[in-house]
Amino acid sequence: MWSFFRHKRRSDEQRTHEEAQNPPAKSRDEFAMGYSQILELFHKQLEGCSDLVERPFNFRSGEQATLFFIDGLVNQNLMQRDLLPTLLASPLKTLSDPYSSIPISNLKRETKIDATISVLFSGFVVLIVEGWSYALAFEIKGWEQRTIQEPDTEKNVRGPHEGFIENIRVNTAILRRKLRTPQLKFKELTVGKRSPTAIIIAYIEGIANPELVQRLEKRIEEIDIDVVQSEGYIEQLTLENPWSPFPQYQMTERPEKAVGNLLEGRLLVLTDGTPSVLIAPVDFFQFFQSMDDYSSNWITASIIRFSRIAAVFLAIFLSSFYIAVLSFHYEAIPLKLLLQLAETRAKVPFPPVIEAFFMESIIELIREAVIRLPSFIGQVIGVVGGIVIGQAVVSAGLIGNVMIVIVSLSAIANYVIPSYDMGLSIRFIRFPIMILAAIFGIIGLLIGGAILLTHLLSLESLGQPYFTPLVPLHAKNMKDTFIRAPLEMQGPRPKSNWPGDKFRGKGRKRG
Amino acid sequence: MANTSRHQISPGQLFVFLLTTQIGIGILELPRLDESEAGHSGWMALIPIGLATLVCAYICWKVCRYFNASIITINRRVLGRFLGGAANWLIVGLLIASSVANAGLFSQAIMILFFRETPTGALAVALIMPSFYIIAKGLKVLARFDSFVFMAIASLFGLFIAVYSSLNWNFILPLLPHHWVKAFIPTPALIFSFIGFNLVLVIYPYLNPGKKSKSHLLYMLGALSVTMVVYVLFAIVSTALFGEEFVRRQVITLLDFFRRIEIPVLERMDIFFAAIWLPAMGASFTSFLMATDLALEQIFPQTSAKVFPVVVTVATVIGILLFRGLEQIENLSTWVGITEFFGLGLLWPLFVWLVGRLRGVKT
Repeated sequence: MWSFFRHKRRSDEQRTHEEAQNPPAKSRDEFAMGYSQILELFHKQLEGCSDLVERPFNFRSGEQATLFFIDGLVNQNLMQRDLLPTLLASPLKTLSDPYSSIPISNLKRETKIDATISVLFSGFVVLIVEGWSYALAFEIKGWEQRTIQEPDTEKNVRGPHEGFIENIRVNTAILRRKLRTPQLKFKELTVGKRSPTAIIIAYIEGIANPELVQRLEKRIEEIDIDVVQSEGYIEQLTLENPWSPFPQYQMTERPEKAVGNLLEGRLLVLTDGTPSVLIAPVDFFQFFQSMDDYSSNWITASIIRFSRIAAVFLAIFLSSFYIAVLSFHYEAIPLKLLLQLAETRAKVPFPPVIEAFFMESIIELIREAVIRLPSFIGQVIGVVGGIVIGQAVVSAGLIGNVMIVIVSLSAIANYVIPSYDMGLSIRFIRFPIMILAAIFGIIGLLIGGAILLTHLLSLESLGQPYFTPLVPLHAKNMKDTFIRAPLEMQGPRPKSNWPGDKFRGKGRKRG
Repeated sequence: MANTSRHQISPGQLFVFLLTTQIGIGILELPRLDESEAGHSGWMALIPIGLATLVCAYICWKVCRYFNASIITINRRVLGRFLGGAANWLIVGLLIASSVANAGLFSQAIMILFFRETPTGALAVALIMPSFYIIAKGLKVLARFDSFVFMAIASLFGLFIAVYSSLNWNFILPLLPHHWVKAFIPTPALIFSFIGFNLVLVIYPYLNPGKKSKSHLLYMLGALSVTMVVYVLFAIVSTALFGEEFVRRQVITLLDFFRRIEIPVLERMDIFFAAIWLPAMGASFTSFLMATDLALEQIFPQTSAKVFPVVVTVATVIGILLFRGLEQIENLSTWVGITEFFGLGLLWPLFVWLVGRLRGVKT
């Protein structure tokens, strides 16, 4: 296996070397215009870039040369230690084979002006020499970046506590460290007309279906946009159903979650400059799974998983159900409870739907305010909203006590959902269902539920049904939906991903 | 024809589609209609008609297989452009009438259950909203939605167990009364509960092709058999629970079934059981709307498929508004049941097959 790597690396180096020695005839013209014209072109194109550093010098043999680099993107210590002394001390002819004479691990011979400028902005140092029909680019990247830390949005109790960061190469290295197999492939693409951004599709060869890889690659290649600022751009521009409020890709900052999905035959999309990774294809039930489910005992994990699914129902339907029952079907309420409800409702001048909308709106406003404000002010807002407004609206007779309980319960149920995107979708779905419940009672709730269900059944993620494994039914994959069955029973990989290798193992060897 | 991938269904999906189409609305008035002529032995009438459904469905399937096309295409091919076109419009009219009868019965049930004061039009529009969305999405999504019929059937069996101690088996004895011949003859109104199998004539082109053709037939016959068994059990248990006389006076036996359940703390569960059954009932009449939509798509292959769900939905709502009250809807459903069962489900496929053979029309 190692000989394969050595051979591959050697052949890659050879190819780069040959390309450097013999640049294509067409592109040779771009640097053949003359040293001063090239510099003029560079100055013109990079005019107004105050972070550009230009360092002219002469070789010992007298030829003029200029180094270009972007301040802040280059490790200047390394440059001063390894690159500059070598260049200043060497005669030009020694650079005819730069791979042997310059102690930099990665260097490129660029023959096009645009490509040269592009690598300049990627942290390369560019060398232009009088009489050369190409530029040399040395990779001496070095910029400030965040250290690896646990993501704030996806906390775990057990398991690793590391997260992805903004540097795409650090992220691929994290994945490579966790999956030490040559079958882990990284297919690199570039998106963005104004500022090209590196996008990597990661998958495990032999498990991921090649058709899905091609499908995703094609969709990413079709993106036509100035710049990709975050993975959300890729998500929105490659969706099958952009009119749906539901997330059709899953976002994660946790490497172990990404690895788990790779092993289930899914694909990852890594975007340079963002710590979040997209997972595709996904199903609806996947959004209620957490990495803790797999690290802890299967029985407790199953109970927690089931309670999460129940929480989704509460988050969507609880307020609507309360409105429907109170407005139309009070005969369904047990007598003792009905008397208590009547007592609290007697002081409230509004119908239940107005009450619910008023309270839900307050909760949404508080939630939005807490997210946007610094944490210490956010806590104050939480207290003011939760206690002061909660108490005040009841005292003022605007809202009944029971409605506060209902709305609070549905808000808490919403927070139980581990996926932020799914939680966000569910937050807003309940409002139209509340209106339907206010008009048609339980029938309105069922109408809303039926439309919602139809929508979920019609959704697809990268061509795979969204509501699987429940519908279409894949019984073998049901062991990781409503419950989390023991790992020994989790042998079959999800069928909806069309995995190449359909079985991941028995869990433990017996007999 | 437009992209039909959204309509392609597997044998399993055909199974749930037919099961939902028949059981959803068919079960609504079943015991009452069944008991009205044959008394406490009325459940026996469900067996011959159920078996006849299997035979008719087999004939429909064979005719479609023979021409390898839907009835819409067969009509055009066998009878020519004008006669075939006229026949197709009659079929579309019949399907719309079926949609109206099914949706009308559903909305009447809702009115009786929940909204006695609500205007029919407002209720019809509200109830048809999910159906419109489903038919706009395609047959595949409807078949996926239909999967939830299993939950409804499971709830029914749960009810059977819950009321088991209250059953009085003397109500269904003696098994064969003195007018026992009548027991095996279904009432015309009862036939309506068994229609839906004939929709295979319209949806045939959308069944996933290939070596699975035999599976489709088996799954289809399987679905119809399950329907028959559920109907028979429901009729027996209803009679044993309520007695012949009370069943005759009931409008929706299923609802009274739900009302018999009493549980601690919550006291009654009828609203929750109704909530489980209503989506299945809605899906049942949506099947007829979908079949109408697909028939129109086949008649006008060049027209945008987005138009037909609107046309079908509007036509059905107008139909519901025209037939007001339970009595009118029941008369319509009786007429529709007989025409669909014997006309579209048996005689017409045999007729086109015969004419096709005589004229030498090949697949």
